[in-house]
Amino acid sequence: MSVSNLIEFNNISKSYGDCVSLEQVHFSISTNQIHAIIGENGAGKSTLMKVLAGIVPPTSGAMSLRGKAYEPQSAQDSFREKIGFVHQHFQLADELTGWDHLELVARTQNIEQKKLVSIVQDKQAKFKWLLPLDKKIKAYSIGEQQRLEILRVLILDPEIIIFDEPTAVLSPDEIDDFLNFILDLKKQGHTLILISHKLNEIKKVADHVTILCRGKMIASDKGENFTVEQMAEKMIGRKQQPLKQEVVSETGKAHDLHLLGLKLHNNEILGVAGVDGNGQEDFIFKLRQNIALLKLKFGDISEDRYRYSIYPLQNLVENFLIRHREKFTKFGLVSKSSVRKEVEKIIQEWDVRPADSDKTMGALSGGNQQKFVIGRELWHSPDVILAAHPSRGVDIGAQEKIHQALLDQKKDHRAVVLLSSDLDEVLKLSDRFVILYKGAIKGPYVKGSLNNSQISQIMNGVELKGAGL
Amino acid sequence: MKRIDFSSLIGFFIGVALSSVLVILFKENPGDVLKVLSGSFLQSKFDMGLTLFYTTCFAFAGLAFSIPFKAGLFHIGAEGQIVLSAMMAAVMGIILPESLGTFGIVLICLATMVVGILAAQTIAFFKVYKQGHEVVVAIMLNFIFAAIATYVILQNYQNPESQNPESALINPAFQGAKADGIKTFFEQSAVSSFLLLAVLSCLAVWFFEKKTKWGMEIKAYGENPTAAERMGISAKKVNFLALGIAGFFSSLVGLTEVLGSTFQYKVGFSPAYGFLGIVVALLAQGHPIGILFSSFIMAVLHKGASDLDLETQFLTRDFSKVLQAIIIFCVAGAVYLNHRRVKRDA
Repeated sequence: MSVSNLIEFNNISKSYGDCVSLEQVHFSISTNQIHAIIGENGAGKSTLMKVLAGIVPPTSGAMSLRGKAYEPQSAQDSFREKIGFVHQHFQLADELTGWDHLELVARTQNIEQKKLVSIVQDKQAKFKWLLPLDKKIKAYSIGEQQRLEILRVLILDPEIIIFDEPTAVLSPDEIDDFLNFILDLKKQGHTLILISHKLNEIKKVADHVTILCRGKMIASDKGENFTVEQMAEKMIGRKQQPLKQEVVSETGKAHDLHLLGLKLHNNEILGVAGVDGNGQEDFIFKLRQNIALLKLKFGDISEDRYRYSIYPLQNLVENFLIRHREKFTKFGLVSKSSVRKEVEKIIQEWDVRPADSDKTMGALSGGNQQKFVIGRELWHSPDVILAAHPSRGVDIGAQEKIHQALLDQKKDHRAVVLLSSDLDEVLKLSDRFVILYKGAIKGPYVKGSLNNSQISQIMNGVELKGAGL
Repeated sequence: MKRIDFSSLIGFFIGVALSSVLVILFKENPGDVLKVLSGSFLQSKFDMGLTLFYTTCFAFAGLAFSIPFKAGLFHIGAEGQIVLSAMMAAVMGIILPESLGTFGIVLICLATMVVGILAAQTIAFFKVYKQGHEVVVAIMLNFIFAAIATYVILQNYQNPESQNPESALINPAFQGAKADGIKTFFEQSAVSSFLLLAVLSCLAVWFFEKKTKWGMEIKAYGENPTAAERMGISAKKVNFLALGIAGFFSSLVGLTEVLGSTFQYKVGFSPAYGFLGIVVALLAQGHPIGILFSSFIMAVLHKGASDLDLETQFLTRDFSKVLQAIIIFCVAGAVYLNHRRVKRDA
C-alpha cells in the first residue's frame, strides 16, 4: 500500500434486496488528483459515493482512508474525515437566504461568525464569484445554487470533495468556469472526485478515470490512457453509433403553427438556446398555451422532471396512465390491463431498467426516469413536441437514443421545439434556432449561419447587425 | 408483490403497551383495564350493537378524512359537516308530512347529503378562490356550523317534552330503521342498516381509487400537484371533488345518527366523530378496506371507555381519551418513521 493512496475501496458490494447495485468494486484514489468516476445510469456511481459519504453502508467490503480503516456510520462521520459532497439535486431550503444557509451549516459545525465571513469573502474573491448572499434561495439561478452548495461544502474545509454530475445543470460558459474552478481547487491541494457523463470535460481535467458498468468496475487508469471514444465504449459496452440524419422532403405537409410570432414547420427541429434564467419558463408557458389553443397533440418533455413529469410513489403503469388517462377511460373507469401492454412496449423500446412496470417511479435512476418519460410523451404521436433539456443528467447511451428519437420525429411530420442550455445539443440537432436573452427572442437563425463567437455574443445581449433570417 | 406494511399495527401495540404503563401508575391492573376496554362490547347483543354503531360512524368519518388526504388536503372539517347535516336531517324529518312515507326518507337523505357536500365545498371555495388554508378554514367552520345547528334546533324545534337541548322526534313514518333486520337482531341497539352502507362505502371508495379516472386524478394531484396541473388536472376540480366526497360521507354520519339511531337531533351527540375519523384513517394508512377494520378497533375502545367509570376504582371515561391520544401518537410516529426509512432506501 503506497502512502499516496488516499482512499481505497476493497471489494465493496451493495445490494438493495435482490437488486445488486455494486459488485466487488476495487480501486484507489490518490492524493491531490481529479479522479473521475464514469458509467451509465444505474452503473452504481452514485451508490458508491453514498457509501463513501456514509449515507448508506456497504453490504460487504471495506474502505480505508489515509491508510486507516474507514467505516462511516453517518454523513457526519464523513464531515469529520474532511469529505465534502456536492449533490446533484441541491439540498437547499427555498425560503432561506444564501447567507442564512451558510450560517446554519456553520453553526452545526461550530464555526464562528467572524471566521465564516472571512472564509466566504476569501472564497468568493478567490474564484471571482459574486453570489448575492442576501437573496432568498428560490430567487437563485441553478448555477448560483450550485455555487452556494459548493460554498456550503468549502466552509467545512474538506480535503476531499465529491461532485455528483456538477455540470449537468450549467450553461457552456458556466461549465468552462466550473472546470477552471476545480483545477484551482486541485492546485490548492484538494482531492476531487468527479462523477460526470460529459466525457469531453472529463478528458480535459481528470488525472485518473474509473469506469463502472452495471455495478462492476471495468477499468481504472490514468486519464491520458483513454480517448473519449474509448471511455464511451467501455462505459456502454459497445461502440457509439453516429446519428442518422433523415432527409426530409421540403414539401412535407406544412401546416404552420403560429407561435409567439415564430413559425414552426412540422418537419423541423427548432432549437431554443440561451443561458438558464433568460425567460425559458415564460417561453415554455406560452408555447403550451398556444398549442392548447390550436388543439394540437402535445408531447411534453418538461424542463424539470421532478416537478412536472413524474409521480415518484406511483408505479410506471400509473405514471403512464395519468398522462394518457383520456384514452384509457370508458364511462369514467380506467382499464389498467391494456395500459400495461403499452408500458411494457415503452420499457422495451427505451431499455428502461429495471424492466418492471410495477416498480415505483422513484425506484428508477434519473436517466431511466427520463427515458420512460420520453417514451411516454412520444407514445401518442404528438404533433408538437417540447423537449426541454432532454438529456440533462442522462448518460451517453441514453443521450444517443434520445437525440436519434428527436431526429426521427421529423420524418413523421412532427415539429420539435428543443430547448436546452447545452449549446452543443441545440446546434447538433436543430434546423433553425432562436436565442433567448432577458425574455426576448432573438432569431430565428438557420443552422450554420452564425459562428460560435457570434452566438455567444447574442447570448450575452450584443445586437448583431445583418445576422439572421 | 408488495410487502404488507405493518408499521401502523406495530405502533398501535406500542401505544397499548405505553398506556398500560400509565395504568400501572394509577394503581390499576392493566390486564383488567384492557379487559374492560376490549371486552365490554361482548357483554350483550345490545353492547355489540352499540359498538357496531360507532363502527359505522367512524368508518364514514374515516373516509371523509382519507379522500381529501389523498389529494394533499388535511381535512379537519368533518365535525362541522356532521353536525350541520344531522340538523338538516332532523329538521326535514320534523317538517315533512307523514303522507310521503318512504319517499320522505329519500327526500331527507338527499337534503342531508346536499347540506353535507355544500358545507365541505365551503372549505374548497375558500381554498381555491381566496387562498385560505384548508385547516384554518375548516376549524373555524366547525364552530360556525355547530352554532348554526344548535341555534336552529333550540329556537324552532326544541323537544317540548324534554329539558335537554334536543329536537323533537322525527315523524314516525320516517323511523323505518326501527324495524330493520340489523336493529332487531341487536335488540333495538343503536346500530342499523347504515352499517351495511358503511361496508359498501369502503368497498366503493376502494374501487373509486383503483379504477376510476377521478380517483387517479386525486391521487396524482396529491402526490405531485405541479405535475398534475401540467398534465391538465385542475386544482379547482380536485379540491371541490375531494372535499365534496368528504362532505358526502360526513353527511352519512349525520344520517346514521338521526335516521338510524336517536331519530332526533341531540345537541352534542357527536363524541368528535370528525376528529376520531382522522385517527381511523391514519391507523388504516388511508386504505379504504383498512378503514373498516380500524374503525371497528376504535369503536371497541370507545365503547369500552364508557365502562371504565363503573369497572375501575380510579379511572374515568376521560382516561380513554388519554389512551386514544397515546395510540394516535404511536401510530402516527410509527408510520412516519417507516415512511422515512422507505424513502431513504429508495
